[in-house]
Amino acid sequence: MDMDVEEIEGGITNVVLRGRLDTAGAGAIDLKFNVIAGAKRAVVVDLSNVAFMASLGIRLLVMGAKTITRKGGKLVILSPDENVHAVLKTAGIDQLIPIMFDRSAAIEAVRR
Amino acid sequence: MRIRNDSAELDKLTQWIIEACDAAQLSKKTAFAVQLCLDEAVANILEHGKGGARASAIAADLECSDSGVVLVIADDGGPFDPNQVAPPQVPQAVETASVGGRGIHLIREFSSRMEYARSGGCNRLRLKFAT
Repeated sequence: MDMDVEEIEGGITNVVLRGRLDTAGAGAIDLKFNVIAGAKRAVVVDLSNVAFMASLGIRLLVMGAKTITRKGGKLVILSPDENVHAVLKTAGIDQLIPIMFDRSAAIEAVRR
Repeated sequence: MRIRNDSAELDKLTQWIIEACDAAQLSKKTAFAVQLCLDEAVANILEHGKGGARASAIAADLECSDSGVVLVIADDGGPFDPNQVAPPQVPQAVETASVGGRGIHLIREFSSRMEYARSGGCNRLRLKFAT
């Protein structure tokens, strides 16, 4: 499981996750992800390279979104694949965290 | 497939289930559902085993036949019947949402049938999947 962090214009942070966000994968990046959530207010989490997600991956995203929302910021999920999107919807995450498929729209959504 | 109840062993289990799904030529959707349910069940065993009745080992088996795909997960920890776990609350807002407690719900939704049995001091979870 890899995590790349890129600062884009306007104080927006793009977090690109790659690999399997399963129990082991979530454990591998949780510290790094929590540090970003603690430090940033506008975060796009790009899931287009995440082929698998289980509930510990969901926990990581919900914890991050809670931390950022508490500061008045916003976290948006970008481009999950079909199966990962099905997991997020089944777990009700689409009701908590915006899921978008257009990068520009995701950037606009966290900018506000 | 059998591993020690240790998160360091998870990679071995993941590798096994990916190869088993490939060998059985499961569709991408079915393979995803099987792997999701295995990860959730094992995460529960790791989590619930933190008390006194910790499992020492976890065994998993994938059976594929004309009648469907069956995943069996067994552990020798304290009794844990997932049928007794209440469905999660539907979250209304991220501020108040629970961070966890979704694993059993995902197993119920991504498998077509869930059966639990306790025998010989072991938990045995049998999950069936539509192909």
